[in-house]
Amino acid sequence: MNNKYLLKGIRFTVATCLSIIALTATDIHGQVTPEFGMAARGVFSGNFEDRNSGSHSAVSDFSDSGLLLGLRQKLYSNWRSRFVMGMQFPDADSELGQVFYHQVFIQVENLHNIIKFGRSRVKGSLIEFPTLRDDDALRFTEKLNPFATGKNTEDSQYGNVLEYTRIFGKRVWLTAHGEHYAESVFSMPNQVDEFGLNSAGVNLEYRVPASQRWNRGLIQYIGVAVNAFFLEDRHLGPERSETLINVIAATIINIHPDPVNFWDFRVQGSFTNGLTGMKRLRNEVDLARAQSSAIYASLRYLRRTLERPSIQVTLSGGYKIYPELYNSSHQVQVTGNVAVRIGDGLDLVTQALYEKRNGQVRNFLGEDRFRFQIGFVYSLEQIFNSQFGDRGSLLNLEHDYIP
Amino acid sequence: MALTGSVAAGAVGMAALGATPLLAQTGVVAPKRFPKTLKPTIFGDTKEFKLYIDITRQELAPGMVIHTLAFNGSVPGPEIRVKRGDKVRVLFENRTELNHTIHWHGMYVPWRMDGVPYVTQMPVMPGETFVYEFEAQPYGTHFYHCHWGTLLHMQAGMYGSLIVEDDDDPIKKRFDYDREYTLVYSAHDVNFLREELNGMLDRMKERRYLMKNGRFDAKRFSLFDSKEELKNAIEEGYQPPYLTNRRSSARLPQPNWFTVNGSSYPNTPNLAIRSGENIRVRLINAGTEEHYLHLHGHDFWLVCDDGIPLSQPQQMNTLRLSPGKTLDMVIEGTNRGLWTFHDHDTRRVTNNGLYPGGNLLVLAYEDLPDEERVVNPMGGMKMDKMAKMNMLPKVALDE
Repeated sequence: MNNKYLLKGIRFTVATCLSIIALTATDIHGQVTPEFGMAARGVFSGNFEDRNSGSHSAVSDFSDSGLLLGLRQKLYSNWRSRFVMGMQFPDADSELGQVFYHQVFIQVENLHNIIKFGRSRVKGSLIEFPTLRDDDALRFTEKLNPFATGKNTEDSQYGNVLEYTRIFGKRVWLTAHGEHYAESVFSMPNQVDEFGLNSAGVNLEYRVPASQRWNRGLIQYIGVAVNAFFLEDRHLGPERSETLINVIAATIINIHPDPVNFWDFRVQGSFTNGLTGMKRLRNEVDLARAQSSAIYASLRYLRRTLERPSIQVTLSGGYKIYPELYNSSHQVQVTGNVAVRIGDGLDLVTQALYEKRNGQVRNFLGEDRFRFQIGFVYSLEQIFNSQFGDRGSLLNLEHDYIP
Repeated sequence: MALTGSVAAGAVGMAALGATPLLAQTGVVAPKRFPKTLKPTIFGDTKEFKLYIDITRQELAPGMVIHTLAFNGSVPGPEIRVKRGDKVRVLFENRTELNHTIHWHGMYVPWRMDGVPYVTQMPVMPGETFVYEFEAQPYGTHFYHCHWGTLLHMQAGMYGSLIVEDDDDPIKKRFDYDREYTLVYSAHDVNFLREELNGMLDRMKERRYLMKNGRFDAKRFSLFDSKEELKNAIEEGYQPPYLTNRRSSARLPQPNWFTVNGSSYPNTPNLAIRSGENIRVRLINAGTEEHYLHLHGHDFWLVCDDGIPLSQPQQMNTLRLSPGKTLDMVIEGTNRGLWTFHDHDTRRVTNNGLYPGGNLLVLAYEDLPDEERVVNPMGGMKMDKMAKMNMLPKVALDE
């Protein structure tokens, strides 16, 4: 008998047997019903934009709306597993289609260890900022993807990740992570994404759990991160490879941790070393490859009545500079927004954003602009068939952890 | 070794009995009574008891641990035993970050000692101590429990037995007994318990933060002087917590663990008896479910209802124990063996939905000879040989 057919036959038989085994196990014994988690966010806004040249635009915008579904259960040891799948409505000009599957990952964890792999949010920033949409301040707050065209922000926000986190005590998190960022810019025609890890980094964070917000002091969060992007000849050209180094530091400070009139301040600074000798931006991907420094900060006021948020006002601003480019190139952004809760899960939000761009940055990001947005944000986070407590619950934090 | 001889001699102490093979295998420790009794300090003619409440961990069954609210570190709380007419003082210290009170269920206490928040007293706040004083009346089996957030706090473990004894006990006169046991029943939705306890701790942290700064907002506690004041507040925009647009719970608790003295089978306590002996069993339902308790191989005497002695004890083998109820029964040791005593609503003989578990106890005769406990004396199945198991009873979890 031809060996090729024999091998095919063996493969088919093994595969069929494995399928039968899996199906049989499910059929006879059933499965323990896991926890089912659902998170949803709908962001609907009207955007009115004025540019320096006098041009205007008005668009309706549903981007950032998304749905997350998660399943979680205990393993035979004191570990737990979680499978999450999520989809998001991307920006209209993102070239990602109608739906973008931004989260598809498995996480395995116990009290002090978390292992995560799959597609998820990359460790591109340390903290989140209170802007209407995740990407409003992205160019100031995220390390940008140096492998992609920059057509969409998702390429900088999401990737295939492999992460291991070790939690020391209850508040110190050390994470080693590797990512595959989507690749769409190559040095030669006909080259394609190879899906290997093209980035790695380490994060060290001090986090006060959200459940302990009323007994925390001045510090809510402190973190530092070091990341590396590995650019090879398929990105840079024949026999050329370089490593982009990115350093981030961030903190969140409780200015006034009052349950009714709550004030906090957050700031993040980042530095990217840039490719050797890069003085000129040739295309948008070079915004991620050039040396840059950025800082972004937010002051937030949250009014809570009857233990529920009722109004939030924020003022944010950022500055980013590309110091090694020929002419002065920098960006400035100022953003203010107000969110009024009109019912559980639904906020009426307005946001005003002004952005100024100078030098070579202007060539790729466009002229200065002022944008006003008004809209609704619906948010939901529910767990059904709850079976065990979280690491960060008050009972587990303050009265001994129960696996 | 058979125990018959020892028991017949009648001179063997409990410690010796506790060392016998049967007791070791059945898990029966054979105390004179359980649960543990709280010792008072005597001040003149007053018996003073110290109770504190704290959050602790409780093993419902091997491998299943939950967070509970425990009086003096145990669920149920320690048994308080007093004589009818005693002057009782209870110093209740709140070591949690939650509010509590103690209600003396079935007792003729002065109304300001009844432990109902906002009706008879203000809640005992975190760190505070409240002094309850009353005269021990009436005679019988009663219990104490928290009356703040009652649905949550009771199934979280805040209950304990309160026994008012009488030197001229009518039950003891009619059914001479030496040993007696108190069984406190409860039912727990452990997921509701965990989520609500976390939620309540979170709310209280916020409220305490404000109160420490001298800012008490009555609406935050949903506290009003009158119904009219509440109605007016609603007209002005206040949203009560029970409305679906504020904080209402998605569901009522659905108990999935059923305990006796804080434990589910196989952790449940067993009842020890000897041939010819009478034992008194005091039953208290501190939970939200009704129980239909059935004893195998015997009738028993129902002797007290809500602590009140029945003029004519009733002979039966199944009784109904409703929430809030106490019933006393006397079992006569007339049929030597190992007999189950369980809820005949067998949904409560489950752990997390699986039978057996929950309210399953064994009435164990201490004088049962070893040879009668040999498995399958009539032949039949060969599981005993395969499993190399020789003696009954076993702990079985997968029927």
